[in-house]
Amino acid sequence: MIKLSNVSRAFGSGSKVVPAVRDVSLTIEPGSFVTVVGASGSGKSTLLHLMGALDRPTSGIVEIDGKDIAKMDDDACTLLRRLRIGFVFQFFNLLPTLTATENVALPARLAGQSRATTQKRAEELLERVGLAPRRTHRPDELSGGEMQRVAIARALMMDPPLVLADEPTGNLDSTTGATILELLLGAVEAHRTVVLITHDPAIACKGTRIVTMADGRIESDRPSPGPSVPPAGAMGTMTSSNA
Amino acid sequence: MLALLREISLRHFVRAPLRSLLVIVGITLGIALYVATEAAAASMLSAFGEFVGRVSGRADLTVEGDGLGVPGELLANVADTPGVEHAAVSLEVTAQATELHESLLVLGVDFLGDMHFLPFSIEEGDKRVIEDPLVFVNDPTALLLSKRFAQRHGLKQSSRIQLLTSDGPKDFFVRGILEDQGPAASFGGQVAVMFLDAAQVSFARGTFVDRIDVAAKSGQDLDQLRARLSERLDKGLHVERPDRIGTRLRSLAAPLHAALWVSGFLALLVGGFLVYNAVGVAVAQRRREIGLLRALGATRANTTWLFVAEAGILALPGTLAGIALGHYLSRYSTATTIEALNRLYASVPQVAPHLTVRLVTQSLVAGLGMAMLAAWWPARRGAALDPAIVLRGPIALEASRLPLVQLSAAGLGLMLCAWLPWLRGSKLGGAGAISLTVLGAALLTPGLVVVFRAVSVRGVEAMLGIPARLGLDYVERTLGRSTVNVLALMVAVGMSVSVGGWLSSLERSIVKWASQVGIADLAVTQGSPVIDRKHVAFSAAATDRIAKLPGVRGIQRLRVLDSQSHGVTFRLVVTDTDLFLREAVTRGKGWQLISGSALAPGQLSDRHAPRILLSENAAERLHARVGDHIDLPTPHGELRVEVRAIIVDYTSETGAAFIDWGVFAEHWGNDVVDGLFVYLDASAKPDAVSASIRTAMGGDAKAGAVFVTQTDAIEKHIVKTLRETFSYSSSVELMTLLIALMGVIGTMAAAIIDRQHEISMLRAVGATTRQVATAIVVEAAFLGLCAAIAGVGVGIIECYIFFNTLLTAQTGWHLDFVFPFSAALRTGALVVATSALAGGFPAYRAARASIVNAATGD
Repeated sequence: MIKLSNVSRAFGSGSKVVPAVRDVSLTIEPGSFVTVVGASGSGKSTLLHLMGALDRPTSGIVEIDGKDIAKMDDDACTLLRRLRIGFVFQFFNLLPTLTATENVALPARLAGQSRATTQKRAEELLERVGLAPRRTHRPDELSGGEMQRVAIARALMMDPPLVLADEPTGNLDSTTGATILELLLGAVEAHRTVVLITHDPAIACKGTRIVTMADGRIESDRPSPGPSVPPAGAMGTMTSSNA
Repeated sequence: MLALLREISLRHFVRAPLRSLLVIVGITLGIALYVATEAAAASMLSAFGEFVGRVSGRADLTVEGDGLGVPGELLANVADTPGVEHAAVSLEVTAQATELHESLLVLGVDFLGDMHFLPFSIEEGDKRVIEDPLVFVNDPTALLLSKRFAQRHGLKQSSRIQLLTSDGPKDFFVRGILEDQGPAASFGGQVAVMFLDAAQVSFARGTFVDRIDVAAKSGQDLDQLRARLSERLDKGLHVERPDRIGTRLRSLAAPLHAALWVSGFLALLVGGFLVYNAVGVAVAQRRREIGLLRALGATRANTTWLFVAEAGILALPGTLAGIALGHYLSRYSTATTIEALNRLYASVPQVAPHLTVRLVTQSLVAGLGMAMLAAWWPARRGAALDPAIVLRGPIALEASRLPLVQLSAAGLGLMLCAWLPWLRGSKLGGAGAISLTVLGAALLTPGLVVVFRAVSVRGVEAMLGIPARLGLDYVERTLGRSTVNVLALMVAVGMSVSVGGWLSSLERSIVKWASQVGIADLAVTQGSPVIDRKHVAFSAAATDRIAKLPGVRGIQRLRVLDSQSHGVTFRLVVTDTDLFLREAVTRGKGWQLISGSALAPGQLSDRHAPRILLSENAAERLHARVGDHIDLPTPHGELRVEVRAIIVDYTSETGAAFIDWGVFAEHWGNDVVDGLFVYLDASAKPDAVSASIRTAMGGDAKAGAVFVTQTDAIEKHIVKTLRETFSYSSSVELMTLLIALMGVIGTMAAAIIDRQHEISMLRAVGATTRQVATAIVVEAAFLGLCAAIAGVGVGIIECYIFFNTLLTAQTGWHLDFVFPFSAALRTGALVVATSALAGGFPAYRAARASIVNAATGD
């Protein structure tokens, strides 16, 4: 569970302080699929960073699984991200010198697991996102959609209970974006908590709950009006093998 | 353009003070070394000018001789030559004022002869310098002192001054003070004048002088007079125009001058390298800005010039600081250079370095030019960025597009060319071979980096995890930039290993030779622990005193002087060959023969059938083999000698001929001794005999006038001298290494800026700060490792080529090549360790950087 209590985050100092998130309180239950929408500069990405222990609040408390991240040291935050959180970014963020399999296996390799141990699981995940034939390819040999699928497989490598996705479809065409969304919905089906940031109202409606941000504050927090059940194929694809 | 500079660049100078400082420091160091070496070279030439001025004076021609000098009795013959107006003998000795711990130039003047060349004015106002000339010439302890020297030491009329003579330290008395003008002002004002006979006796010069100065009659053709004089003189004496002396000195000191020039050039090069790196970092940091400028209408040329102009602006204070620092350092570089000149070539004064307008202008041009030139390439690369790609979002890293196969093939080809036979045997060929090797290695470096990475990546990943592997991956991705760093470090390592190899080989060969020939119990010299330009010869009387001391079983006299045969100049080494050969047999040592049958006592000492030994290099230069005869000039005509054997010998780079003392005494008529080897009775204690030798020579152990060295200390002294000789190159090498390492810091800083996004992503997916730091440090250490391996290889090849081309061409020596394990290991480990350390600071910054960039793509 993620719990934010009166969280604020400001950048800069002195007279040049720019508040990005202001006095936000929010609770996200395990297994929920929350979408965060809002205009550019509304603070949604900062909110995601705080939820992912990438950043720390200027004031207020961010609790992940009951732990206040402000009280955790850097290594503890790193371990939390490595083991409990999967990230999917707008720009894929794959390492150009690693193959698709190596990119997927990266979190496990950082955790000290051997190449042999991680390879099987990484290939399995690639197969599930439909990229088995591309497993030895490097990012510059993959399309945008393929790179994002590799990024999703990487996010699931450590089988984290929480997946944070920042505009994962923002850089993709609508068809490819739909495929990516299906994969994320598959993760929800596998009882993971997913928080997704988007500009697209249609995608936002796929969540169980829509949080709307404006000027760093939560403008509205309401259940999604639309269907949240993903297509059967996608659900089947992303059911965790470890679950 | 100016607006861009004002609005953008100036703010960057302030916002990135470390980067600005790196440019300034790079230029400061480069220019400081440049100024220091250029000032030393200028001082050397100025010292030569002073020397030539002192020697030539009012003379139109000078008569000089090899070996003992010019017999004084030839003066009458020279003076009688038609066309000669004036002729006078001249003697110069660099003597040590033992109690004052300073050197003095002692001029021996014949006050009874032609006074045309007198080196000072007899009258000073209404006062005569010498009150009673007759008393002066009859007093062997009388001398005149230059005013500057006298005032500095509080010496007046009748003051006592102790000088080291051939009979040990002796007291002399001041009989007049000379105004500091003309020759009396030469040698930095450290001048004393003695009556010629007194100088000859005091310094065991017999009846010999250094030269005879000649002034021609008005309207006399000097070439004709020169030819006329040459006809009248024996072989071994030369008539030259005084200005030729300067040319000869410059030619002799050419290697030293070249070394200074190379050091200065190298300093500029490494300074440029630092600027290159700093501008590379700036370009990496400001990619978005460049993209924006380009998108808004700045041309590639505008953008390139912006960065080049920035480098130029920062270079200005750097250059000025470099000139100031260089001026300070030039005191040391000049002192070292003049000291080397004094030891090796001629008695020249310590000249204070001057910061001339020309040198300042040169430095300004060099500093600004080098900075702008070094900035041009990274600036051009930055300006070539596609604005659309740069502005789109996350940074797309440059992928290496180097034509590896072609570069490697060209590099290998050049390195192979270095082994072409026609590059052997000449200095130019040797220099060409070394240049080809370095250039070839430079072209081969990118390929080597790729191969090293491929070979080591699995092992590194297994040992240090995936972050370390990512570090190695990045080196390959930015191969161009990585290569420049590896190259800079490689040059430093190569230089160190090459010098190390050269030193260890020379050390082993010379120590081996010294242990074979240095068989006596004690070695005795005066003025200097070795026979060089600073040592003072022993008179025959002094030698006898030592020979008669209790505990002394025998003395082996040693005389070293220049000689020539068939136009080839070499060192003539005179010694007691029978004693040496007898003692050598009992110790199982002696001269190492290259050709010729084994030597026995009596074979070299036959005065009616004189035989000599030739060193390998002398034999090569004289084209002489065992059994051949060569003619040696003596004061009484030429002496035909047979070459008995060719031996290993490192006495001189010009070669040496060994002749028996008895043969020399008979034909040269001279019994002065430069140094002594003393053989002790079995019961004698070396320390006790050493003390009695010092006492017999009137030397005070503290004054360091008489040097008595025990055999084992001789080897240590040789090794120490060798290492001191190479100390200058070591300091240049260390400086190069330091600057190259600053380059590593710059490169790693640029790498982190390039990879900021990637590092953030790694941290987001679970990399700890330690893992990120490991990646950076491993990358830096890998650059060092590549440089260490390549540098060791290049250094050894350079050293090997040097031995087989330059050294052979210069000296004729063939040294045993000793692989410089110690230098290779020491430098290799140092480079890897310091490179890793240099990566430490950027690694720390990278690990502490904000993680959120990964998500935002900023």
